[in-house]
Amino acid sequence: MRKHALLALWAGDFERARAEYDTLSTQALDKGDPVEARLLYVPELLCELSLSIERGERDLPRRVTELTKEKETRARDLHQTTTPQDAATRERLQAALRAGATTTKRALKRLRLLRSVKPEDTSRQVRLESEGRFVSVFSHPAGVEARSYYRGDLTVNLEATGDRLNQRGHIVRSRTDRMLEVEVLREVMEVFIDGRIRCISESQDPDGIGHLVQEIGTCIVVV
Amino acid sequence: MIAYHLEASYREVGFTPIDLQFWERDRIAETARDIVAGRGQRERRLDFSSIHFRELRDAVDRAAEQVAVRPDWDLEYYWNARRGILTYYSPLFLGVDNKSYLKSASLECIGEGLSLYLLEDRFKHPDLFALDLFCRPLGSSPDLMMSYRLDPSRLALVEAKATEDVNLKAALVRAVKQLIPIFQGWQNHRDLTKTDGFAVATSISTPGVFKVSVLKMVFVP
Repeated sequence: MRKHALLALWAGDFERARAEYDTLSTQALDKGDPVEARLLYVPELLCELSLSIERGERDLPRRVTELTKEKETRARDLHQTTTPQDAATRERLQAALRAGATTTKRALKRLRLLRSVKPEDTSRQVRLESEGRFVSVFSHPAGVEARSYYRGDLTVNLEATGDRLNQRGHIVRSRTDRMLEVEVLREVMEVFIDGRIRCISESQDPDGIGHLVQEIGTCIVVV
Repeated sequence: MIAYHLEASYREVGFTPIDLQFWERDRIAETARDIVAGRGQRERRLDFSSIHFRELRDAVDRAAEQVAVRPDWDLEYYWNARRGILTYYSPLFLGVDNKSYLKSASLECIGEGLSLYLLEDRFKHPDLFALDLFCRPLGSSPDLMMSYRLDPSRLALVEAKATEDVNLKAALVRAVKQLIPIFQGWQNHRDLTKTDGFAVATSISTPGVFKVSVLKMVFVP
C-alpha cells in the first residue's frame, strides 16, 4: 500500500496517491499513532495541493488550513466513533496534523509558490491509462518527461523484455542489472526493474510521448 | 561517462541501550566514533560493479532532498576541473563548509541516491538489503525511511553522507552521530528491535568511481 502510494506520487498520479495516503493516515489515526499520521499526512497534503494547482487554484496556504481542519475533525470523529482514545492521544494526533500543515506551508513559502503565476500560463496535463498502466507527462528542462508505472508490485524480467523489444524492432542500447535503455523512434527510454518507465524528450509533443511510453509498457514481461 | 564504477563494502554492528543514554553532543560523538571504529564483524566487499548514469539520475530523483536534475554532469565538471581542464562551472568545490555560494547540491544528492540504489537491491544481495522506500522526509532526519520487502513491519532508517575525501570513516561517524538522537526519540514509540539503522558514506575522490561504505546498526537489547 505504501509502495503504491509512493509509485503513484512518483508518476504524478496524484488522485490515486492521495487516496492511498488518506487510507494509510486514517489507519494511523485509528491506531493513535501521531508519528505515522504526520509522516503520511504531509505527502497527502502535497498530492491534494498538486491537484489544486491543476484545477487553477492559487491560494495554497489557505487551502492547507482548510484541509487540516477537515482532517482534525475526522480525527475527532474517529475518537468518538471507533477506537476509544484518551484526550491526550487525541491532542497528540491533532498536534501532529498541525505540525504537518506547518511543514507544508513552510515549503510553499520557500518556493514562493504561484501567487504570481496566472492560471492560463499552465499547460495542459497529459495523463493516460490503459490496462492498469498509468502514464503522465511533466515539464522538464530538456523538454517533456513521461513517467509511467503499473498499479501493482512488479518485478520485470529484463532479459525477456529486452528480447521482446528487439523482436518488435526497438533497439536495446544498454542493459544493466536493474534497467534497460531502449531507443524507440529516436527517443531514449528507461525501463526499470519495478515496472517504471521514464523518457525525456526534446522533440515529441506530450501526447505523442505519452503514447510511446504506453506502447513500451505493453512489451514488459513480468517475472 | 555512461557508467561509473561502484565499489561498495558492508559491515554490521550492534548498539545497545547504553549507547542511547547520553544526550550531550560530545558524548554522542564519542559513541558514534566507538561504534564505527571498533565493533561488529569485519568489513566485506559487495558484488556491485557499476551504475549507469540514468540509474544514478533516477535514484537521485527519488532520494534527494534538493533538486539535482543532472547530478552526473556536476560530477564530470568537478572531476575535469581537478584534472586542470578549464570549466565555466563555478561551484567547483562541492562541499566547502560555510560557503554556500560555492556549493552544489549534487554531492549530497548523489550520496542519498546511491544509498537508495544499494539498499533497494534484491538480486545481488537479497539477504542483506531488499528494502522498499517508504518515505523521504524533507527538512528532517533521517534521509530515507525504508521497509523490508519480506517483512514490511520492519523499518530501516537511513542516513547518507557524501564526501570528497578518500577516507570514509569520518563521513560514517557523522551519519551515525545523526542516527543516535533519532533512535533516542524513536524508542519512545517504536520497538527498536524492529528498526535498523543504515549509515551510508560515499566518496567521489577518484574520477569515475563511487566508493560506498554501508554500516548497518542493529539494536541489541
